[in-house]
Amino acid sequence: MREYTVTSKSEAETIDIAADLAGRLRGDEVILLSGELGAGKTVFTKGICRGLGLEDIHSVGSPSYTLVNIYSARFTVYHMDLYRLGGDSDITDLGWEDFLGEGVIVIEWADKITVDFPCIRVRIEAGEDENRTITIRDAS
Amino acid sequence: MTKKSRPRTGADSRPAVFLGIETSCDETSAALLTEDFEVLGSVVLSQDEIHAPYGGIVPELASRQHIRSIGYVVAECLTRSGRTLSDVDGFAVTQGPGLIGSLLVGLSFAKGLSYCFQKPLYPVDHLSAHIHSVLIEHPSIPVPALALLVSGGHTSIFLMREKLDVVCLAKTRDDAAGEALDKIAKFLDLGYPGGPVIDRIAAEGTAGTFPFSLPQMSDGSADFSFSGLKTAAVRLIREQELNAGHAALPDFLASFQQAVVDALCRNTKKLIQKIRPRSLILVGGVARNSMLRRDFLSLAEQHNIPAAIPSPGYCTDNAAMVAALAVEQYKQGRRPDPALDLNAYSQFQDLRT
Repeated sequence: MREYTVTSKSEAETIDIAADLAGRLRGDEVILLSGELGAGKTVFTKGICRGLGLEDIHSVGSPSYTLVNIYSARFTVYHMDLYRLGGDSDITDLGWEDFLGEGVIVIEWADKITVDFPCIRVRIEAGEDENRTITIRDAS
Repeated sequence: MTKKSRPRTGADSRPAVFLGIETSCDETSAALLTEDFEVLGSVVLSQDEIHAPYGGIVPELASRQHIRSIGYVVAECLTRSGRTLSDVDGFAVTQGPGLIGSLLVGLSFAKGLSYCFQKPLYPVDHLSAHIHSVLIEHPSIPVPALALLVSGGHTSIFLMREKLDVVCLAKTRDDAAGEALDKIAKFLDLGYPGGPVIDRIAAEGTAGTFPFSLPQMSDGSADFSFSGLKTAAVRLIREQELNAGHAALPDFLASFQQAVVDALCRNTKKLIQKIRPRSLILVGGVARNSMLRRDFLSLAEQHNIPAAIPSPGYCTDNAAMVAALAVEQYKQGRRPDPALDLNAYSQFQDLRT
């Protein structure tokens, strides 16, 4: 396991940080994103997709309502979101475990997952203006 | 209408009847439509006052909830229509995009019915069904039509070149408009569903009181972005310590909602001027929003073209729109492929610039 903290001054920098992380992925990781409203979880996911070679990162949008967005990059990216979900049973109902091992799974609002398992946890904290503190804890 | 020149295929020369099924996300829905787009019966579980015998809970985002509800919803739709399954001339089901597990429930159920009654099954794209929801009340909408689809999950502009020929011209690069509204409502703890609550409170306020700058695409695209507006709203709420009981809340919500509506209308206007469509279409759950309806109609008036907006019940997810799209396919003589499969992606040709 390793843990490190980086700071970002803009959306562009957040995308670079995420793309850098994506460059080290094997293709079957689960990445759990947490951070409050507007912290930049979807922006971070855009960066992961760019790092995985997705051409049109404009197509990466929030899955809060669609629940799952799927992108074909170097690995398939399953972009999910627990924003609208309540407890653990709702989350199990979502069936996200079906995608395990099929590609990179990115889950927003992941602090709702209470069980521990091998994954990469990313916490984004908003500071002044566009500043963000990003903590990455890799236990994948 | 073509119906006059074509022989009726329904039993006893009655108009043919189509059963639509929708399970792509939260709603379990079934509707029966005639080939003339007349709705004989429509049931939407999460919005209806039905409290089904299995406990009456609102289906929660989950395939197993759809499994519990689907049989009941279809049976209730048939009862309300005064028809039976043997009266159905064709089935229609949402094929995607959506949650695989949820889609699979509707698709399997519809495939079973189609097989059992030996009637065709029309696969329907969820977003295309939203766009074609206008056909229920405006079957003769002039094409090419520019369609703004706004919901919790999607915000896109499509061009309906012909009724079944639809291409995507713009979409959101981050949040959907409905999502931005709902998330701010939830952040302020205003209750659910957030969009209609904001609409109601905003009606008592004055737009423009709080400053919001509209997102600009540096590449000149008509794509949308609502993430920045959402973050700006969160910042204002914190700075001004706004909450559910605050006196300035109506002004704040009116200003925020107006900014969202302005962004939607500005990009639509840009494409109206570029494409010169013969009509405008506004669909999706947020098409219920009063400010958006007003400004969208005024946009149509400015350009002297008709605008079609479905009744509120056909704006949110529903199976009538699924059946409507199947009716259009049937009228144009399309033969569905019996081996149809799920489709996790939407199928539109992307003509975004």
